[in-house]
Amino acid sequence: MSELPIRPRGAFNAYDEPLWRSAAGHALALQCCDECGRYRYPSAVACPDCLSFSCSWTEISGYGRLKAWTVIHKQYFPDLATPYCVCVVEIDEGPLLTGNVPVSAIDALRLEQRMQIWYEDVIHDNGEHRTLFQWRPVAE
Amino acid sequence: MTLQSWGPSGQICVVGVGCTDYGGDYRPSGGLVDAYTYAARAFAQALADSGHAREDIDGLIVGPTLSTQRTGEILGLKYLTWGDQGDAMTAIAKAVQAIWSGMATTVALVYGNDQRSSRVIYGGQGADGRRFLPYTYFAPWGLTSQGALYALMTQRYLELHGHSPDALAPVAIGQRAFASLNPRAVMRMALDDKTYRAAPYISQPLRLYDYCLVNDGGVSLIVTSRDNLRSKDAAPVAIEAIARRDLVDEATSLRPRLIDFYHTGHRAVAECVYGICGIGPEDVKCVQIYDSFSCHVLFALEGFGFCPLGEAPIYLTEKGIGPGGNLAINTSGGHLSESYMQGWNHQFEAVQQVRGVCGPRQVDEHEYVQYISDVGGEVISIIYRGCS
Repeated sequence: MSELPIRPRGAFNAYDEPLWRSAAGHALALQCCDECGRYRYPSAVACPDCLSFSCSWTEISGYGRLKAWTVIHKQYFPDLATPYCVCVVEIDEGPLLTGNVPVSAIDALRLEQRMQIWYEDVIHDNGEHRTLFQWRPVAE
Repeated sequence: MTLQSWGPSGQICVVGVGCTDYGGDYRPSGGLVDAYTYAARAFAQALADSGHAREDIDGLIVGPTLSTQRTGEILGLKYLTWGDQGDAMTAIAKAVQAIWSGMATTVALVYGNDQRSSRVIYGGQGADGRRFLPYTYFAPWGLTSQGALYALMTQRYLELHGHSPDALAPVAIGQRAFASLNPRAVMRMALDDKTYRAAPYISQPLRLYDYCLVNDGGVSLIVTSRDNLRSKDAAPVAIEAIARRDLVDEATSLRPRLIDFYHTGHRAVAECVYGICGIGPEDVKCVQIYDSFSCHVLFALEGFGFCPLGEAPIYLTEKGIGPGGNLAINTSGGHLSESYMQGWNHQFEAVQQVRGVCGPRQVDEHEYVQYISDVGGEVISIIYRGCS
């Protein structure tokens, strides 16, 4: 019996493959357009700004600002005990990324707060391993 | 882009409407039901209301829960030259397009949903991301429900503008007051502040009464051109303006929702529909807003210029949006209290308000009834007006 938390699998596409490999290495990388430099997320074939089909997977700094959060009280997934908190962080490179924050940290959350990435190993109920990227406030 | 004159404006009318008894059907009867049950009942009513014969119907547009072909088969529509599928607001637009282009003359719009009796689950493992990827992309973090996505948006809004979570309460309370006057509504018992606040959070800051119903029902409308009117009794209602603006950039990662509150779409659409009619929000006394969650009302009020940005909660309490208030919003009770027909019951109510047949919930002294939705960042507005 695994001791890793069980988490639902998302609806990932083929272009997410390198993203999840980079997360497993604790060095999250996103696609950066070779023509105009825009970072994009979710992963996709082309750049929405200049339609270039050429990009490079580039490791992000791991820092961003907190833009939104919600505490979910309804049990949507059998393995996700309620309440739990979902947050959205705008990383320094531009895109918005999701994450979980411990419910114990809710009261200290502030809009625009500096957040830092961390990595959580989980497992899906089909046995597939995944390393999720998560966010926590930068220690003051 | 603005549309200062729109060809079809005032030329195409809703001539018949029908819907099912949402409140009555909320109590299981043990009879046979599926989505087509409700669709057929609503269609029969709308057809009778329109004064048209079934043979006149040469266009059919169904809601996302039905098959165009199967609906046409069941309803015996044997002369279709146009068939399509769409959500409520898109269906109206497509009916206008079909008629205006000459591809149909008389279009039936039909919707039926058995989500309650078939136990549809929204969010969680049942989430459907085919149309909107954010419904499933973030499952590993436990984020899949439409409610949670709107909760993120609302929580940010409240933090940004320094409002309390109770700022949402007037929406649910005001709409319930209208539903109390609506014999068809599912939820009719008066809702007060105390009951609203005592209800549990589903996804903070949204509570139980901030969420729409899940219930069975059907709605149908018959649309034709102004020179093709048949009914001797029911007044035709003209479609005066339609406009749409889709916010797709970073839609999956929620930027239009969280950072923009869809206002870029609201502003663009407002400029179009008000421009076509030569009016402003101050001329609208009755508005139907797609309310899968109460927060939609706040963002629409601000985005369309009914009140300044960040001030919707003040507007709600100072102006009043329930019966007798300054601006009548969701006068049937909307998705929160009448029925969750995915915008279709809003079209029905808009038409009936223009016709002046809403009895105790009739809003007096208005010329236009506006419909607004911004689901998933697709902002659409329709303005209805009486045919003079």
